Amino acid sequence: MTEVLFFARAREVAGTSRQVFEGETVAEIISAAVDRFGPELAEVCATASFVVDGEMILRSELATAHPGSEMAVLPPVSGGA
Amino acid sequence: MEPTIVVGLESSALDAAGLVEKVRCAAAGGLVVFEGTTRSPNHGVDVIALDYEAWEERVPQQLAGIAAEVAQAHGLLGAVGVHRIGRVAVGEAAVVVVAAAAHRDAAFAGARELIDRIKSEAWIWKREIRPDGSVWVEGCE
Repeated sequence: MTEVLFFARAREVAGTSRQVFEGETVAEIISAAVDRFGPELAEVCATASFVVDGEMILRSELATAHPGSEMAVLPPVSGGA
Repeated sequence: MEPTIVVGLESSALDAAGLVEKVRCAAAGGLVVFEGTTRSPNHGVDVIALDYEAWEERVPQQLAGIAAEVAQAHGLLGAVGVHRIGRVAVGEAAVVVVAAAAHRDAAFAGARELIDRIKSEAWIWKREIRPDGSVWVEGCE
């Protein structure tokens, strides 16, 4: 089980800031979340970064990386004014 | 001597002058302060306020890492990086950075790198509140 954390537009699209999913890879978790919350989440995930248990996952590793116990979905950041 | 590092997320107005005092020291001959403030219009669109969201459990540690690296790179005596969360009205500071160094060149360069890295790396997002609705801003300029 992986607790997925959603931030900013991902949180708004999902309608929640956290949800538990089952999956063997980051890609499987994304797919399960898109099935649950709809295609707009796929659009968000296309440009998001993913952090698993504190480690940034490269996009090339999404299909193979284990999703860990906590996986954050992070849209492109926009801090500062 | 270890540099003084001051970072954090705040849900109320930032006090730039107070933050400067936290890194003022006898050896610092240069103190550069940068405030990033909510502006209107932004690219021709009226803005009422910005709503900031952060990964609150992780960002303080992330800001501390950025500040320590920038301080090391520029030989700073002090580095400050504090960001607002929640609603920030037009004209209010969303972020304050301060770089304290023995000389001005390092202080200016350090402050510049602090704000650039906070904007591009910190897990913080803003939503622009406009008269006719709101939009998430994605990516830094």
